[in-house]
Amino acid sequence: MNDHEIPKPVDSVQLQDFAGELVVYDLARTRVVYLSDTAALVWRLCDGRRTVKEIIELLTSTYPQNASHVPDEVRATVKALEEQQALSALSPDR
Amino acid sequence: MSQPSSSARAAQVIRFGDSRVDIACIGSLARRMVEVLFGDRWREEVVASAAPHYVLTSDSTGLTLTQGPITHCARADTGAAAELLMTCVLHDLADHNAAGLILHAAAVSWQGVGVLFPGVSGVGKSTLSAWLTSAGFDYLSDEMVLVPTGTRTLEGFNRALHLKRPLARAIQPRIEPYLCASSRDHDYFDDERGTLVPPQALRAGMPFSTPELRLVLFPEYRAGSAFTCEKLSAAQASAQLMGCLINARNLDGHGLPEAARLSKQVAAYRIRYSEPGTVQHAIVGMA
Repeated sequence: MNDHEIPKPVDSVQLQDFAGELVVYDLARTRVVYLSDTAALVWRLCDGRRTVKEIIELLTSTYPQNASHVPDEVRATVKALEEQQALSALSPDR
Repeated sequence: MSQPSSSARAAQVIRFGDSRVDIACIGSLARRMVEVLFGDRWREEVVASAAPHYVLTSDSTGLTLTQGPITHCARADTGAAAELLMTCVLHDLADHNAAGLILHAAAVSWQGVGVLFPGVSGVGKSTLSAWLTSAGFDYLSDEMVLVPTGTRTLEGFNRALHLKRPLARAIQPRIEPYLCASSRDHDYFDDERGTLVPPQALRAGMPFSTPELRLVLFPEYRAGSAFTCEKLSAAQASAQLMGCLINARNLDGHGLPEAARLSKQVAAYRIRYSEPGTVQHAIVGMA
């Protein structure tokens, strides 16, 4: 994964919102993923348009008090969700 | 009154949610096996001859289980036949069931409070439900539970408990009196993995109830562990419930909206234990 990647939810997922936290259910793989408040925030920004770098910049400017942690948290969350096949990555020159 | 047609026959009918399985029993041991395995679940009914899913035959050579042209086992011993019959019936009852969430879970009731123990094989569901039953809780199931859509009702598939061998140290003294006083192959069955015993072996005269779900405990047995209890958020509980859902493909939204609804209404905890008595005390405290 690199910061120029554009993460996007896979087509087969269904979401359940719990006022912050999320449960992502992959209908195709019948797999369920729990997202904490932080992970859910990253997920919501993975819309198939923003790069990882843009997500980091957006969250850093929104939460300047956590700026030092944001890059690693975003990268780790995107990586984990890709490994669980809940997110897929688009190349920036798509 | 209309007479049954000549093609009708008696069968043991087992219902769960909106599904049913019919078993035509031939031979006294075949009939007894269904009684022991499925307890209050079965009713004898007259069904069309084409209807029975299964024919279970017992004779001097053993037990034979057929399903139309398929022979699941032939001249098998009681343990093998019992395990196979149980597996087939559970699968068929869940496979097309759309009455609600069907969860891989044990469940008990304490003074009208329904307690659910969802979990995959090996987390200790059968041992826990056996121990709690012997301690005065009402047994609902050690394996499969239905929560009808839009309700908080617990309907357990109150089958014979499947206790793994060797019997857990905590269970052994509670079940031994029944095993010693009863006949293997008639009152209980030993299969390759364990013993199938009716819940009455742990407590006689127990009522069959469908209590309201008030507590969800995701158990993890770990030998030597102290009792720990961690409150789960509704989202965490919902995700874990989905992991135990058997009939997702039959439900709207694959059951996720229902699992979420339930998780928002009922307190859920992740527990780790080694002694079932600690779980009993926790439930009594929470209830």
